[in-house]
Amino acid sequence: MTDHTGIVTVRAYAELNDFLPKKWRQREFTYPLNGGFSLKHLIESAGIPHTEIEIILLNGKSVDFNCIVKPGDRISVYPVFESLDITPLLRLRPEPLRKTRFVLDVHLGKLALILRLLGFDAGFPGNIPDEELAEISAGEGRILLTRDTMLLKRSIVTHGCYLHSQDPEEQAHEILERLDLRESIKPFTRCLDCGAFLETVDKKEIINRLEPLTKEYYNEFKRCSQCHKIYWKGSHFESIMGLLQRLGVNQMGDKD
Amino acid sequence: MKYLLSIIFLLVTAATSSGTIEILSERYYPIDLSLSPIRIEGYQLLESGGTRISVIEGSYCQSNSWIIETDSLGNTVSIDVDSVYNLPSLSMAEFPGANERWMVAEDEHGDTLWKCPLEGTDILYFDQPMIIELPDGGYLVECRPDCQTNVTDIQRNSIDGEMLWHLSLGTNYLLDLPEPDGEVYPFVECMRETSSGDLLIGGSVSQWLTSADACFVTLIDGSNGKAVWKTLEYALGEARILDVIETVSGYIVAVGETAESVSPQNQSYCFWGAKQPLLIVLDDEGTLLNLEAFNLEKMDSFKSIIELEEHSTDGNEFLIAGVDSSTCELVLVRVCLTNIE
Repeated sequence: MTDHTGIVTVRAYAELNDFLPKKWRQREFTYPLNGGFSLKHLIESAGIPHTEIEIILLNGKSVDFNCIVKPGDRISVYPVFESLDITPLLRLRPEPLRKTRFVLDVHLGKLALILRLLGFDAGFPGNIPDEELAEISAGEGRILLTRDTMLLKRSIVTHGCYLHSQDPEEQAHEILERLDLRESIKPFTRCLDCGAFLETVDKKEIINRLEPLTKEYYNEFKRCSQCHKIYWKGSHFESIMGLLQRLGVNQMGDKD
Repeated sequence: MKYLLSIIFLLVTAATSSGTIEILSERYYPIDLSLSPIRIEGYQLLESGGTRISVIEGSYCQSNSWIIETDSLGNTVSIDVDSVYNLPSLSMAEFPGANERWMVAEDEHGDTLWKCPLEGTDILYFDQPMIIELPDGGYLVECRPDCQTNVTDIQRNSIDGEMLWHLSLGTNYLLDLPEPDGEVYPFVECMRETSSGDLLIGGSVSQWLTSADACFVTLIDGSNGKAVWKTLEYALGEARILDVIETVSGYIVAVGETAESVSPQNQSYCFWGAKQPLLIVLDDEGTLLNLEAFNLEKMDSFKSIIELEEHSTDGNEFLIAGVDSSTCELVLVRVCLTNIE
């Protein structure tokens, strides 16, 4: 019978150190082994959610999360590589989802608005238990966005992103960079309220719903295909363009 | 690890519109900042006429720290990573059968020194609270909820982990709302102890998940955890306090960020516009004396502030930490406040 009691040596690289206690950051550390644990279990026990990991090397060899750890093993854990060719190595995270869709945790209401402004399908179910949020992510193929590491450690979550910043605009930057989404941005195409697509609507059709000054000064309108909320390029349009520019969106306007 | 002195140095003297807050200098340091918050932990005048400045990024459990030494002209002599880590090591834990989260203190061998439950954490809470070590060795712990609730829990512990008091800091109190309105808890960004043992807490608060953020500063009685006063400001439309201190002369100076509030037509949704650094001055009863938003080329936020021992003839001097918004490197700004009344 294999003895699984002892210690292993672990080293986390780059931003994965953010999840570790200070004493373990940017250095090798030993971790006690009290049973036959998988790599996923061991690394998440140390603090790093599996959704944040791209590559694991066990004694120099690329392995997956299910590998059982033995005493004396040396484990190196790497985050997403931005520019390094890792073709020979085993990529741990599943293939990217065919459609980029999100579901956001309750504390990310303002990020949900920004993502919808950029044209992404950003589900925001509000105050529901973590278990249900994880089920929505898995069942609907949505990338789970959260600052809750415990939520990302759930096995059912295959596509998730931990957000390092607490600022919604910086969080949007994080998502756009990490998932390389800048080419997918289609600003002003979704309803901020419900997230459904907007459609162009004739002014005559909605004129009874417009305020007097809006009737007088604006002629182009869009309407939500689901909740029927009306949008036009009002006085704050320039400020919203400023937000898009800060997010690095070069092509503005009505991309349909 | 040492970095050699290859520092961009820029001296800016830009009086603000009121003439009472003057930026004396901005200095840039090749330290990449990736975590938040950022805090100036110490400032010391050296016999050589230079200075030693300690800067920390991240929380108590997860942080990096640096020591910057300058010569008498303010040029950087060295930047060292501060490898000393505080003991005990604190972490959060959940125990079978217990509803609350617990704070656990361990020594360098991983042995438990003490553990205590965190009041109010029987509902959903993040596992990364803000922990401040106080001069008496005790701790102030802020737990951030992960659900729609309008309170944030703050707990004062003694050096051996005993809970001395607990405060539920509510959005309703800060915004003067009748119960039970308000679906979002206050975002506490900073906690500091005053000379009399009371606590200054700053951050941002909004009534709804998507409404405009106001910045707040509140004074908490250090003996019982009761709120004494609060100050709320929207500044340019949205605002957030990231650090707050009591000055030697008894004023309260807070720094953070502010922006125009951008709201699409017929919507209650608010986005932050372009951020600017914010500085506010309060008297010891929380009355606003001065509020200034700065238009700086490379900084959009003031992250942390300390008062300097050396004063100019005209006023009090402060050192403020920020981040170069294009390079994410540390910036230290020296500021003089004059004629605060």
